[in-house]
Amino acid sequence: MVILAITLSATAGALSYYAQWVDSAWYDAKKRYLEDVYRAGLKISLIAYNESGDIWLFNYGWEKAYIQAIEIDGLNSTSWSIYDASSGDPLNYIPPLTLVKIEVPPFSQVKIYFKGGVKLEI
Amino acid sequence: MRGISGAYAAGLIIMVVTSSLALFSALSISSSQLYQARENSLKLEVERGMERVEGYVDSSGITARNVGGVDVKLAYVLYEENGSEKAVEVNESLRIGEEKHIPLPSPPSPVYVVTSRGNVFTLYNLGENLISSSYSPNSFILSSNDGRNYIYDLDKAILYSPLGYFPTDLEKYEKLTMAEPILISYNGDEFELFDVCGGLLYGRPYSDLPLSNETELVDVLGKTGIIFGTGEGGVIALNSNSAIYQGFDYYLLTWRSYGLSLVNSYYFGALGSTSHHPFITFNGTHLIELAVKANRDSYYRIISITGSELEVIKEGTFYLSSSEFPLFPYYGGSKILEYTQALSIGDKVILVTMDDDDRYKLYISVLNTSTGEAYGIKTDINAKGLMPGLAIIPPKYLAIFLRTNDYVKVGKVYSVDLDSLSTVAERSWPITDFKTVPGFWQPIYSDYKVWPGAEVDYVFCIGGLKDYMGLYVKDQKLCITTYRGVEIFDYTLTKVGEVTASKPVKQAHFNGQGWTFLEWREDGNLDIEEVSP
Repeated sequence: MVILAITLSATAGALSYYAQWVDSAWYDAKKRYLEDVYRAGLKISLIAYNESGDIWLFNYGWEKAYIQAIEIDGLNSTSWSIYDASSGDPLNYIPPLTLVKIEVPPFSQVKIYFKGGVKLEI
Repeated sequence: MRGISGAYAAGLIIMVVTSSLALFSALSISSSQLYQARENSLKLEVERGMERVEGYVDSSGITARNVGGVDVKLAYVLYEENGSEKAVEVNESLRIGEEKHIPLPSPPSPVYVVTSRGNVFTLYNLGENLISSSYSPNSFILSSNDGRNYIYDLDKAILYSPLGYFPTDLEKYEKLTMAEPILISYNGDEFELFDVCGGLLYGRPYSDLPLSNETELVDVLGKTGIIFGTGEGGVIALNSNSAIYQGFDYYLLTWRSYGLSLVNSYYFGALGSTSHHPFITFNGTHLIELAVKANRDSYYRIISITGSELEVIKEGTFYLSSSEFPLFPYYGGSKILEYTQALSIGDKVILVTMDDDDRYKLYISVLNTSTGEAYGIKTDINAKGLMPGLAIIPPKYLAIFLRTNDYVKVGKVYSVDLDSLSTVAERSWPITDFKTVPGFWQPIYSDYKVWPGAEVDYVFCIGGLKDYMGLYVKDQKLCITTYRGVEIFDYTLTKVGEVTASKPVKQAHFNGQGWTFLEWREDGNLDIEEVSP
């Protein structure tokens, strides 16, 4: 009985570990897949900028482009805003086929990090 | 007990197999969808590269014409008004060849037109002068219902088929003018390549295509490198998002009986940042990827090609100061390197650029990939235009073909010693005795040895402009194709030989052993003559 209990316990442990492994592998694979699909559909064109703090970006892909962070002269910045370049309406992301204006503090170097690992550096 | 353990073991194995199958099945479905997404991405970028809009600004607005190879949608115009930039959504579609006037209240010059594929074209008020034309009026893509593409060259009246298949009824094929010299057709895991402007089919020579050639590295869509002659196939390096540099996708291809087939694809990541300017060059044995920026760290990566494998064998950093390389002001102060081309020979990579603001200055920079050292010069030149044509004359000379101030014709030719960066010879164009024939002004990113068995070649193009020529480099000499055949020059730009055809030449190609001339007959048809050296 002791051997059976040990066997059952070990099997349960192994199954639990295996289930976690499958779940983790599946999660990682799915995440990589989603990121790859996202990157394939994320197309950002730098239209223009000036170093006083205006950046125009155009999203010609088919995915919404979410900005995760903007780094200005090496420091993470929270003081930036996105606007629809045509209407001036504030936005939370860059919709497909939309020209936006991003206002940031004056800079000499900017890095814009998009969801999915895409980075744009000016 | 053994029975119980066996049952557990069997159950465990079944569970492992079942869940693994489920996982692999899911991954398989995912990779299929991912494949489709990448294919869509590639298609978009190819179409993006085929976009060309030209036009002008006047007091009533802008006039834009689609001179590209694909229908275009104008998404926005961007211009300065009262000291601030104004973006106007236009949503105007332009079919191929179509011209439209878009009214704007007293627009300043320049006006930036943003297309739905993310391209920006700049229109100026220059008295209705047309800007930025790049198209081949004499070739057409014929697209069939079965997904095949064919090239019909009106000049030569030759139909090109990449897979050796010719349609019997041309009426059902749609004509489509092309903007770019290269079309990449990506069908599943097969590639078809076309050079529409040059009249060459890039790929395996077909018996019914007398002028087709294998080739190596060319610039495609501005940001893509193609190299062939790696033994059994070639490599395409594609920057999948050509607006910002994110590193190249490398596709290693090989020839099958039915055409080009994908063997392996690689992604080695981006060098530097997205705003570095990427180049691909080939030194005869290795691919060299560059990410260049003046006054910042620049990067290079050397990739070996062996059989069915690509491998990064070296990466390094170099630095180009502004005295060696200009900073290009761009709308509002951005700095990009636009008028730059890269070539390589041995362990040297040569970057040549003309100043965007002041095109009387030429910058030549040399990177030694063995030591990581970079050096360069800035030199004044009496020439103005877009990008010069370049060719390396082995072992150490660079020939530079410059435009005249009217932007149209070649004006001067320089030969520069790549060790000392001193000018060896400076000649006024033409250096040939006869009118040159064809080829197009756009340097093939390669050194002198373009493909095994045929020490050819730089083919230059100048888009839709009229002056063009074919230039080959063979036995350390420049060979320029002319109306009479081929004229041969050494590194001092002195004529040292000539190969004469028996009739007026329409096209001349080096075929590996000798010259193939396509000649005019008196009845207006064409003959083919093979001349051995």
